[in-house]
Amino acid sequence: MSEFETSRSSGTIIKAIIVVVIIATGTIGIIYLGGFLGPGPDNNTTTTTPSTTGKTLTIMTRHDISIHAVFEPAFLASDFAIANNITDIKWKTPDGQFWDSLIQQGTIDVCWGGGPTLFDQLMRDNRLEPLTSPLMQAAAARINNTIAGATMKRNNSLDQLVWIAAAISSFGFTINHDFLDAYNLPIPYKWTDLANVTYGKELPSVPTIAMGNAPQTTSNTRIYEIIVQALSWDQGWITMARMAGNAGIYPGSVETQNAVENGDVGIAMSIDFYGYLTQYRNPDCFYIVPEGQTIVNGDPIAIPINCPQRDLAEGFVDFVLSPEGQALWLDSDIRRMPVLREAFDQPGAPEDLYLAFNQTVQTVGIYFNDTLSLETNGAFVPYWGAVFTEAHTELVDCWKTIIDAYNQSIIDDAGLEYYAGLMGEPVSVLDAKTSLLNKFTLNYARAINDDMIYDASYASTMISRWVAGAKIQYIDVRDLVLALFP
Amino acid sequence: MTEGEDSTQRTEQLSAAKDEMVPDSFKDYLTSSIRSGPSRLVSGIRRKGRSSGRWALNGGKRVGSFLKDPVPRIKDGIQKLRREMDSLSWAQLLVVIVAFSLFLILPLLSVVVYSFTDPVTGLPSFVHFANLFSDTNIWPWYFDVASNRWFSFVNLQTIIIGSDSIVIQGWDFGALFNSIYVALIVTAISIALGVFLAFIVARYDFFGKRIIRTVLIFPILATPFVGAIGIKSFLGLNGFFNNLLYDQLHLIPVQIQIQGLAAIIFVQSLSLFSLVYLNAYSSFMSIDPSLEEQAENLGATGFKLFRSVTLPLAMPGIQAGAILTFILSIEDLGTPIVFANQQQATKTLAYQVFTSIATQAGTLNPKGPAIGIILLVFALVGFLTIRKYAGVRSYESGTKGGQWNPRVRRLSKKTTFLMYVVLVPLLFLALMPQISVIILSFAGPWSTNSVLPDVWTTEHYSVLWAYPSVAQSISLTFIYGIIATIIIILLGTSAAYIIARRDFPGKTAFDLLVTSPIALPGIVIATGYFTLYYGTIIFPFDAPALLIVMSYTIRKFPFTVRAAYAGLQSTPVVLEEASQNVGASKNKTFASITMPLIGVSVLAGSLLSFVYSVSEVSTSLILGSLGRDQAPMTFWTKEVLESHSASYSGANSAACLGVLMMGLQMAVITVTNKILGARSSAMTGI
Repeated sequence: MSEFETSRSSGTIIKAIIVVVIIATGTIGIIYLGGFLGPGPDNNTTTTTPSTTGKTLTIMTRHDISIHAVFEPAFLASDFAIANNITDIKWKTPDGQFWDSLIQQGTIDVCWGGGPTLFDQLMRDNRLEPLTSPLMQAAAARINNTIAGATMKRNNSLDQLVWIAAAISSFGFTINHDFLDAYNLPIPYKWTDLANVTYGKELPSVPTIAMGNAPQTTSNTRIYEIIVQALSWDQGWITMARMAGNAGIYPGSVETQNAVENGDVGIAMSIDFYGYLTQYRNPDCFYIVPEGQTIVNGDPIAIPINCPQRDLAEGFVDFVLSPEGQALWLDSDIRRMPVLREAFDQPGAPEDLYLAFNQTVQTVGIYFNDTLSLETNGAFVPYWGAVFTEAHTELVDCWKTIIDAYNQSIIDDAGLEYYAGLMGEPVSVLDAKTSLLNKFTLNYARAINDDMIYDASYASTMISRWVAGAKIQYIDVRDLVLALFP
Repeated sequence: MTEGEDSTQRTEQLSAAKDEMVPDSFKDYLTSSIRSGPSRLVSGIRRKGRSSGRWALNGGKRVGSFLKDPVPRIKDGIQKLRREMDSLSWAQLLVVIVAFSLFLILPLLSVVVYSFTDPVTGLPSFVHFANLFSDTNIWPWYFDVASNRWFSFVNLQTIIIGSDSIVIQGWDFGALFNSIYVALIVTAISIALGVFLAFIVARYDFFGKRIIRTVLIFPILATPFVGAIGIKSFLGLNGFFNNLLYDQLHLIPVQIQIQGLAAIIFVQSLSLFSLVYLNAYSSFMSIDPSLEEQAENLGATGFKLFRSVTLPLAMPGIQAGAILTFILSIEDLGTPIVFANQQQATKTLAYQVFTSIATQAGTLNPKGPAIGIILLVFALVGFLTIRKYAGVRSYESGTKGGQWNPRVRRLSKKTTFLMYVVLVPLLFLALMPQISVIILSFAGPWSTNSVLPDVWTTEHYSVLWAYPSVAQSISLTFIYGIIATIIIILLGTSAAYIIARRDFPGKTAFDLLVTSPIALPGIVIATGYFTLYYGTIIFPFDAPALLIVMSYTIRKFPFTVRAAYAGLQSTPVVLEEASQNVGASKNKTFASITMPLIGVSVLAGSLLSFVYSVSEVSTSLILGSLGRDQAPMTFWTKEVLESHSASYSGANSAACLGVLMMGLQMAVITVTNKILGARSSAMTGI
């Protein structure tokens, strides 16, 4: 090409590029200066007319659009919002891992929804402002301290209140009758039923249970923590190994729920409102509250540190915890359980939900030690993922061999318990810092909890070792059982 | 070059030329292939090995001599740059590099820097990469110190037989090798299907051709999240096929489940073959008919004509399609997530990045980006290999191509019937995600064992009226996609032009740079955007629109670059030289000669860029969650899918958004075709 004379002028093409880039940038500029897009989302009511002079509240939440759409117009129409000229709410819904940075930047007024595990972690990392003002104390006083054994308020290490539950939810499982009938399987009524050999009879081609992977679902994690707390540490892990052996491990709670709805499995771990939705969408499905093993969670609301509009934030928290605010949970589009009984005194409260609320409140659920959960959660979750999700092929292989031996009467009930115990016993591996051989006991989990949270390299190495350790344990137990076959 | 090297090369050329000698008929070809197969394989491997070895050696020598005496080499480089580059090329190069630096390199570096740092000393190190080899799901061979034993977790069982079902899965060699073999098989199947279909549609006239041409584009219409649920509703244990063939018609004795890596290969092949089809079709159409006529005059007909003339001339398009397919297969996260309930499907690099990147404390886990880097290297090595193999010949057709006077023959009725027997099931499988999304959007309650929904309804579409943000996201997504595509066309054509027509130092690196975005896990870039730009002018609080557009631009750039590059390869440079000889400036030549000649290819690429932009997931989710007013459709699809709303939630309402997204993609393709008329029919046939 060089033999041709090179054109030195910038020429039409460059001009064209510049013009288009300017147009493009200009258009985007207009978009994000707001002129093109209008004032904001969900202004779907006539009650709100955001003006440039009005104040905006920024709420970070794991709640979804259906809840925003009900609470936003109601709050903006409240006396408090009008008196304080609050005309808009900005919702931010990032994944949990971004919450810390956003709070640190000082742009978030209220944190709301996402389960106690997330809020306990925020409290542990000093991201939550103590709710000490008279207004907040009065709001907290309206809420029971516990419901069905579950804490509805949390105090930090200085004994200051940092979060209050704004709604409750319970856990159980959704079953698919059609699937259970097709494989001649019984309906489970307790968590421990799911560990029965019956549910493993179609392995490895058809797992019958859907479990959520602990690192990807906080609601399912709460179920697993409760099983361990209720059955004792070692026995809890052994039971879960048997459950996981019967199960397919799904990435999140939505996938877990879809699996039972589509009939890929017969049983799925469920949060109550998902369970009822599935029941509606697939007539073969049914939500079951485990007998005497109900697990209730309070879903928190809190004010983060660096909150730019503290007074307005408190006003919103107060509104959500008022009887009027609580009654919004009963909206036909949300249908979730309020934390305040007075919500049902509002006109038009649905009776079936009131019935369910009373049942839940009167249930003697399993006692859950939140402090213990917070002390071990950082190690518990990745360990769960390592030994069950990441070593699942080998786990199923081992559990299937034990079931075969049991069904062919090569081992008896005691033998079943013995080998299942060997399979599910917490794994021992070399610690990445001390190089000592450590079994994953409760005390060990407590000791490494902080390192697992804050030292990503340490956590990554430990996970790899647990995965390998678990695989080897499963292979060894399988070989032991195989040796019993004639 | 020494004399020895020279003679070796001559021998190789001769043997290569011998390979190129094409037998007269398909029968002869088959016999000769079978007879000479083994020896050709050995000599092929020897030749490739030797040439790769020499290539690596020369590379090493070049680096060595550069380090020995850098000054003259740099001077040479600068001189070469001066000679090769004019103001237009400079402007093109600079704009591309600035855009890529801001929206790819910097965000990427801000994330991967941790993967190259020793956590203890803080010094640069490869420790995180070394650690990957102790992860048994990535590298399946493990030495257990405690018991002093070696373990292999390789699993070669591909069929599992249950009481009433059969599971088909893939081989498991650990994520590292799984990703490679899956991508290779997917690429091979996609090439076979894509080239076959492109050839039939380009060269034969048959009943229903117009419909088939249109339908063949549908597999690229992507619907994130709901498409996945759709695939499962077809392939699952109680999915469409098992319910129909096993439960209802009793045609098969057992239920069939495809799982793990086999499922990934199945689903990816059936969607990615469209990429090869589109690119190959535009190549077939731009072949100068006179070349084939000359070959026929010289006695070449049938298979010989196809293998010796048509296929080689279509190579640039096939190559472009193959590169995109290979990279997209390695990078694909959506399919492994769909099948993640069976562990084997999680053993791919893309899935491992996804599960390894985030930690509880909100800090980055260096393991995720480290796997991402390995994934990138694999994808780019694949790219270079395909480019090297297909790039050694000259493809210039000599004239402006054949779309004005295509060589089309009519298929007999019998052949047409036979073709449909193959085509209809194939297209049905390929369109599973799209068909199921449409069904889901109209489905009421749906019993487990029923083939189709118990009740049909349109009420799910009310989600659009219920939430204004959701409805608004449709027009926003359209605007984002269009702006991104315009920028992509301008910058992408520039980049392709520089790569194809200029010879400057670092050209291969530049080529790699502009192709790499589709090989980078989106979640890594999205995290980089957040850590680097949140709260700055590029990404103000609540206003991610600019970053969303730029993320689309950069991430979907390679579709246009590869297509434009293929177009330039098929266009003779002498036409541009002639234009300059008669007095046109370089800029005028670029605008009036080059652009029109490669227009069809650029259009093919830019439509792919648009389609994949509006269905982009990773950055849309993270950026959308921080500025919901400006969030695109993919964000709202997930939001609606996971909503707890009693009225507007779940797969059904999300599927409505999926249907609208497909409509948007199809509308843009159709309108573009209508505006451009006959020229674009060469690309899509609509």
